[in-house]
Amino acid sequence: MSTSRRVTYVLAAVVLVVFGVWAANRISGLSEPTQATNPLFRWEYLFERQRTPTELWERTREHLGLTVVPVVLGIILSAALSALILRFGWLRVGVFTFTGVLYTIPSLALFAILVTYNSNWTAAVIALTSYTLLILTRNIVAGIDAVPQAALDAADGLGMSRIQRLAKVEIPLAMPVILTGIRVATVTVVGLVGISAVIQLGGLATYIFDGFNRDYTTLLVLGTVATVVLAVALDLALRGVEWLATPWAHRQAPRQVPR
Amino acid sequence: MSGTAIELQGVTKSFPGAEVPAVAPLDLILSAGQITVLIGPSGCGKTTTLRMINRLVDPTDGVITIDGVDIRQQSLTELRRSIGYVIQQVGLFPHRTIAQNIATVPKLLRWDKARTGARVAELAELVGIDPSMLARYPAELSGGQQQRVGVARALAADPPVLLMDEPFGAVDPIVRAHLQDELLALQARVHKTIVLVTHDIDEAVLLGDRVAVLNVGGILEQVAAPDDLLADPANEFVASFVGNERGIKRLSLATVSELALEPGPVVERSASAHEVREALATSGLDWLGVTEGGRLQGWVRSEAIDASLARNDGVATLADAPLEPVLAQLRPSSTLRAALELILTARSSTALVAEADGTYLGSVTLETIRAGLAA
Repeated sequence: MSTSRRVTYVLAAVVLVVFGVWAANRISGLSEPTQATNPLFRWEYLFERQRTPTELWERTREHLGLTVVPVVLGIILSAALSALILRFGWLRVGVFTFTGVLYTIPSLALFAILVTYNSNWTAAVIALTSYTLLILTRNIVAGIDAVPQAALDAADGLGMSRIQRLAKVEIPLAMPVILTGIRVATVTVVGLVGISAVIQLGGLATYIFDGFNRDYTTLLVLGTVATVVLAVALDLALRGVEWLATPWAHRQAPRQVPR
Repeated sequence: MSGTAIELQGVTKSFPGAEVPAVAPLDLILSAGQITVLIGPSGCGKTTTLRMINRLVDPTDGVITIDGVDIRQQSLTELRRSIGYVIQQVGLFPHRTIAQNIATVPKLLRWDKARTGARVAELAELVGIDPSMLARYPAELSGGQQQRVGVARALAADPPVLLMDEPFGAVDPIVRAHLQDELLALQARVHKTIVLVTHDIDEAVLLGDRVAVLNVGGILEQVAAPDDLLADPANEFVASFVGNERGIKRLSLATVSELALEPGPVVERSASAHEVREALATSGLDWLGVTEGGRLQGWVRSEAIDASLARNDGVATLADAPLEPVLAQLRPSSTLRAALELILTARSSTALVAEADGTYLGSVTLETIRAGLAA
């Protein structure tokens, strides 16, 4: 599925970056003395340095905060946008173009612009939220579009009001697609949060930048691995939510027994 | 028979952009407690007409009344909750269990839990859904079972009117035949005013108390009881629509009770030798049916009759003749199709008709059937 592919991309990108940094140092020869005493990963940093666990937990929490807040805001905004699209069909192209453009703005540039006018935290939240809108709005609308016509016809014919139909039939049936959207958006944001380290907001990427600045690969590896672990953990957790929330979507197929 | 008649007066539907109306001014009375079938080719507006009754489509012009009340006087949701609705694709809600699906309208009407639960159990029994299925989801049921649930859901709040849009169109022929029989059995118990749309003339003729044939553009060509429709199509269109096997189709509709039965080759056991000889001679058959006190007891071969008569010096009668059991006999409720089948496969061209208790009624031959269909 697209999310597992996304996770793979994040993983591949991280590995590439780490390898690139390490290789660049190696080739330039500038840090040859350091290299000799500086392996790719020092396990004692993780297990013997006293501050590491607290620090790691602190940065994970910062990272989680910067993930959850934009995703939640994104869900609220996308729900509103989707409602508009479903109510006024002609808005569809406009909304999708707008969110599509937001999605393509290079994140670093967006941060830079926003930081000029806002506090660092606000800037990061605005930027990250804007990246979730395309995925979330598209999935909400696609999910509701895909509700079988027969179910809608039955809902109307049995005397549900428009609101009842939306709440009892359309949204529940769109749930698997909507939840997939939330999962993809979350994993995407986990990766993007890294950039917020540039503007001193913490998060796991702080390790990566520190490691890069101090030419200390242990921190690079720690930061990247922790980011990936967080992304995968959130992905699995949300898959679990999906499974529990839509028991009807994964029951057995009909048995072909006449009568 | 309780029920609610539906009346369409000058009902018209034009869709924007279409040159000709989908439904021309249509006047039609759908009788209370009966199944009225709307049938016609694609584009005849039969589904549109059906959907105008629960206002899924609003007529451009004209008035529809249910039980004398204009349907526009009720709120849209109230009206629809008081009308059962069954569609071809069933349209069960995939995220709700079978019990929840059936309980849809009671829940909209805010029935309490106990009443809803009791009603769901009652309906499951009525349409033949095993109680163990109630906790399952629609995807776990076969097509036929799903359609049964669709019917149960439509009947949940006991609406007097039931609209069915090609209800059996999506199931295989064997299941369809089952469901059709079940619908007739169900209707015998619930007596709803049912409007059923189909494009299958055999289904129309089987299920309908009355059949309305619509032409393209919603023009009503004929509305009649199925047998009348087949016996006497109003025009060329109806005749070609019902097809060129009308006589054969009618065989499944008409019953033996509608025929003028012949006395048949049957004698009382106490009949005199003379009467027996005469009966044999008249019928030209090599057997006779034997009754006692008006009840059919069996039949006897002509050789056995001769032997018996000879034994008793031509004085006594069939008293000691060996009777053979009547294996195939007709009842008044048998269809002419069954009668024909019996005549074609029996050892003679005559079939005997008796009540369930054995009371002999008469006999049927090819000529009787032909005369009955011509009448």
